[in-house]
Amino acid sequence: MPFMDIDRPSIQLGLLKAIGEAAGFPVRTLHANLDFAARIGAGYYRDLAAHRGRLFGEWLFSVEAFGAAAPDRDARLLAEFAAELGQLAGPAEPAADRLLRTRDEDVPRWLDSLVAGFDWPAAGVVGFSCTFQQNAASFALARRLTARYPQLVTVFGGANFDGEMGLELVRAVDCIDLAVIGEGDTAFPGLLAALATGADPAEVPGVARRAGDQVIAADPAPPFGRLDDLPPPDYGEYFERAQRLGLLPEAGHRDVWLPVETARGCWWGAKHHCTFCGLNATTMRFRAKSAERVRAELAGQARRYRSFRFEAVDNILDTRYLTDLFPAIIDSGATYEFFYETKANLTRRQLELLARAGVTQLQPGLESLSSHVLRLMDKGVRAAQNVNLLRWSAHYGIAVAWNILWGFPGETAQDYADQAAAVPHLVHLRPPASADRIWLERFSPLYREPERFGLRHRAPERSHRFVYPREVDLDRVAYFFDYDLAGALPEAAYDGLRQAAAAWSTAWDADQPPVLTYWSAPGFVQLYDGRHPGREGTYTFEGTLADIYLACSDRPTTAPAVRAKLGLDLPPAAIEEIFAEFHTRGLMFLDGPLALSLALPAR
Amino acid sequence: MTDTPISQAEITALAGKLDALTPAQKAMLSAITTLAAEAVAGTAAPADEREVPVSDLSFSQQFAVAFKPEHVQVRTKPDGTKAVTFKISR
Repeated sequence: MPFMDIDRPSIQLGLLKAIGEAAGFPVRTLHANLDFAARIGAGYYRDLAAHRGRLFGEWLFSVEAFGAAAPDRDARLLAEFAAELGQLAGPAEPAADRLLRTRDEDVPRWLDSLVAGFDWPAAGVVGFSCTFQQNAASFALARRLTARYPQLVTVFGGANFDGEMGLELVRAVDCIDLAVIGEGDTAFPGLLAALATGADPAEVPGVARRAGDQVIAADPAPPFGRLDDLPPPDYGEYFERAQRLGLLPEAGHRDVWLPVETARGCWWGAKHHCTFCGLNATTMRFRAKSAERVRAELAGQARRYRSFRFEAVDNILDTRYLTDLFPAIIDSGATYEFFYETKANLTRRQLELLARAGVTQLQPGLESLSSHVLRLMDKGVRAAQNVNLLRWSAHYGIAVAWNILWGFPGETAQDYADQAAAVPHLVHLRPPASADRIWLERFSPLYREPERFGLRHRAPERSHRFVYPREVDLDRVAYFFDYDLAGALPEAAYDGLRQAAAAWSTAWDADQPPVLTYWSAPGFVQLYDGRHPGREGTYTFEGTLADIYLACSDRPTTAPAVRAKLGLDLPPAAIEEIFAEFHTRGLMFLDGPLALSLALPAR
Repeated sequence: MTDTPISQAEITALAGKLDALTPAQKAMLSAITTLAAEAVAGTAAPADEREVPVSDLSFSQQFAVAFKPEHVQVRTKPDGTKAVTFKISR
């Protein structure tokens, strides 16, 4: 449903279809988001789908979802957030007018076409999977269907139904008959079996239903551990529909990113939950598919859907894959392309391996260029490791998606002054996609332990009240929250870094992107510094200085380690002075005792 | 770099202004001092250039001249006076 991305199939729908059919139930999937995108225009749809802050997408369906109980028929949201609507304007239409027209004309017609377009009575059960801004569109269709076909049973699930969010939605939203709270691998087929035999679905672990103003829910089963036993997702109906609607060309070869799940949970979060992270809630336990299973699934999906691009939906890469899965993929000669989320402490050799195996995009959760701020986040990495990942990713052709975050309890203005000073030295590396304050997400340590972190005020993000009726307890339903922090730095503390990050992006997009490249021979290194127009030039170092610079290139290292590696007579303090000289010229990144050369070797 | 003779007194006066010089200027001055003294004393080689190996420079002098190194030479002018310039050997 809207506003899931239209450029890839839904792994939720694909996996649930495969699980249901493996359990003996006929299942069809409907990527109704494709129909909505075809109706309003794919570009406009993508702009709405990309907007994750305010609930503009949910608001568009609120009137149809909640009828007379909808809180904002008068469209006061458009005035309340007028300053944030800019990018949603049409070619010749202000954003507010465009959104109002979409809500009042496109949404009802889209619902009419969906209701008329399928033999709904033939389906005993209609399921909706909801993540981020998919609730209201799902409720809108469910409301229409249950009004016209009261015999249909509606089932909801997905990330938006995790924990008390799901329980409150079941209690307060009439068109929800049943919900799966948590993972659906056993709950979904169990629920279908209960319905088929007339048993009470609420006795199935993880299933909830309403009883008057109460909710009956069986405790969820433990997190599903046998990922190898899961069938591969079935994406056939996505491709058929997308091609029929003209959103995908008929083609023998496709470049669609196929979602693939190779692991669940987070092995780092299971030990140290990053303070701002609201992912994985009650299912943090890390589980992964075997390398053999992953290889078989990749090959099968590539053959079936004629695409060789795989977007791993995992929250973090299983490090065992660095020794079993990816070497096997390289040896097989398969020409896959991968996106993965990972921890930032990958070495040069590991990044080289990933690149050879086809990883072209990484999301490593860098978040900061300050080791102090990273410690406050409990990230388990240092700033120098983050910079080193940016370096070797650039060298091996891996695009890195990352952000700079601020607003952490305990941070100092100096943390951000230091980062702002470092940025001009890093412009030859990929810049962050954004630099902004952290969001407060349900399930994060910041949310669960407000006293520990000095949260003074917390309330559901402001746009929720324009979407949900008064009867819905927003404190229980919201995932994002507005908040105040005791001892927070003033906004001005971040201005320098904000401006530096913006300049970095501008430099990266220039016709001549910044470069810092080195060539070397034993005991000799030349660096070309092309990071700043008008100040280009070549550095030449020989002997000890060259040796030290090269010794700090593979990974961050210390003066004693360099001394030992090179067999130098110099005391460590003298080596640290040399580090400082390199740093003064922007050729090295210093992070406490660690030094990292910033230039990249010429290809 | 200079195209006119430098007296020992002028070199001494320059040396007194050492703190105001950039690291690159200090590095050059250190070498020029030696060469200029030899030129004034008539002991500098009459060749067009006098080289100073990088390895003879301190680490800070190496940093100072690492970026766009400038060239200094000792040469004999037509009127017989010596001009001091300085070249780094690579």
